[in-house]
Amino acid sequence: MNMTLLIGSLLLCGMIVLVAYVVGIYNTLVRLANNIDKAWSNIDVILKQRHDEIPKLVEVCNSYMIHERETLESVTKARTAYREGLNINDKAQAENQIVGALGKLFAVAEQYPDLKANQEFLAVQQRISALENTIADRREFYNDSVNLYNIAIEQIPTLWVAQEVGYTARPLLTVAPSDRNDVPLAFANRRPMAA
Amino acid sequence: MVTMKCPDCLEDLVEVPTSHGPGLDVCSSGHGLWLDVGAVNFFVEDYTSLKREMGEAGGIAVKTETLCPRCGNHMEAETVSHMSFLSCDSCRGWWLSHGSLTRLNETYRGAAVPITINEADLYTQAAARYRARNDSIRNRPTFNKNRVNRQGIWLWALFFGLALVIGGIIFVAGIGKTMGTTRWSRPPDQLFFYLAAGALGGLGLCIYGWVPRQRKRLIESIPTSTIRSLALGLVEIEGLTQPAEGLLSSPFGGVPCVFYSYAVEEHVGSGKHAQWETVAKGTSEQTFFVRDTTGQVLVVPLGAELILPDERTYRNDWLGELPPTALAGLNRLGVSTTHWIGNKTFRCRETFIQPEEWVYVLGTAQEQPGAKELVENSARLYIGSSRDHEFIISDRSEKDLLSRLGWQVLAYGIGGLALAASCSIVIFTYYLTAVS
Repeated sequence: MNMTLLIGSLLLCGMIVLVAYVVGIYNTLVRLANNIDKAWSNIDVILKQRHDEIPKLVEVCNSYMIHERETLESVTKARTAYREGLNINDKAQAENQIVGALGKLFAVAEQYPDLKANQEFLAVQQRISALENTIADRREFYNDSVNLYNIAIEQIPTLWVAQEVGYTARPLLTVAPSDRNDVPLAFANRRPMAA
Repeated sequence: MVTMKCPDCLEDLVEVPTSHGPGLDVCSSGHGLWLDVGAVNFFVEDYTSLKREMGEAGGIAVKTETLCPRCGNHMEAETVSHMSFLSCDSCRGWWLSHGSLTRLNETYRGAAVPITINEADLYTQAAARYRARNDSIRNRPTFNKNRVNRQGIWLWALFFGLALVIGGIIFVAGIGKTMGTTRWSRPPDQLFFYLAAGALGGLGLCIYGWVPRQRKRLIESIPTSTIRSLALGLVEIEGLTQPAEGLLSSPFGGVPCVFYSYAVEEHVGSGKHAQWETVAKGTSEQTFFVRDTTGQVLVVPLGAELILPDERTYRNDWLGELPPTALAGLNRLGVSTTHWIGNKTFRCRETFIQPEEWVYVLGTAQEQPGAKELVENSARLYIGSSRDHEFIISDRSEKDLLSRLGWQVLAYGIGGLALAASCSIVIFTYYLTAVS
């Protein structure tokens, strides 16, 4: 075998393998990035289901919790903030507000036995609680997807391909420090409860 | 989320925040505004009286052709205290024409907290927001949501393309030079063709090694879902199996299982022409459940690629017999076990998944036909095959699967390369010689 054929064979085979490898890396990055978008959309779907329950909850509570207007308003305002959120971080922050407002609403509802006995209230409360677990699971799934993507774009040799095509790290869904604190409860015309 | 449209002009409704209640969806052309269920309470002081009048004698509902902006059902025209509005029986929202909210607010005054509404300001804000939104859409620079550098991709594609062309030119030149300066040192014989087949087969193995590599990358890139929160589409789950319709028995061993796969091979021919010929193969069709700590989901195994390494084999020769369970299995399959000279020689293989066995499933979560919307998610869906995605069932963990696939990639890749290279070297060394 002459050197020309040997060099040509090695060069051709090497380039074919290299191109196929790089294309494989790029396609993997595309899949990982789209998995993240899909994971967020799947959270959005469940959040919408929960948000659709909020007006029914407010209407039922309206008749009983006449003096808790501020509590009811905080739930609807948080829902509005989510709908107006422009990006994932805004929506995540608004979602945390909804969680806090709903928690406060349910806690306040404990003081109204007639409301607690209302079948419609119980049904809505149960539906919202059932969705909470699914939302929590999907948030973890989203973070797993982001984690896989962030690891991939920081490992060699995927790092070089990611830098060339402009893929950058994505943020995880996190809990704001203020949301880790207990929510102080205060009832209208009542003294605030101790935390 | 789906944007709501004005029932009159079908333009998008614009959300306008308010100071004392939820945001309102307002038509920017001033036709009216939408109130979600319960939202009217925030804009009407004496809500109790309004509810009472509507519930007792005030409300007369007439079905209309107008569709609800939120849920698309036909709305009803209601009249209370000489004011008309449209309400949706399904989502219980209201559509109020221009001025109706102010009239409601003025009619039902009297609670402790006064509520003042500037409806004209709402429509002004809606129009301004509508214009601003359209302007931002027109002026927004178009860019890929993942900020992919297309120019970078084209430059690298050009570079690799040129490198391939140059490599191809050198290769073709080398072929031409070789043909001009090389002669057969010995004529091609059977060994030469085996070596040539080996070289081509080695290349084929390298290419085939791409399949486990792609599968490995797919499995690595999908996080494992909890069954409770399964979403439609390609999903990956792990859990314990449970029968859906009763336990099965494996065809040849009679082992209780939820799923099995089998193959029957018959030894035909004799001497140099003897070979094993597959006479029957198949899988069970019964569905089964996979359960984890959060719930269970139905798995329809038809069309799945099975990675079940533990296999049981039952075989006989022309003097001996298969176990009774294997014979019974062959009879059920309609396979004749004897011929005129004695018993046939069979090799019966089966793999199965037992109940309460840990499995890994990568498949497409789809909605069961006729499932109600409000039923628990995992009961509404099933995991099955799809034309667009892989479908894998294995009794190995994800980590074990990835390890097996990794070794397959290495074996195909390195083994194929080594085979192709060694066969090519032998061909060029023993069959071809350079002529000066």
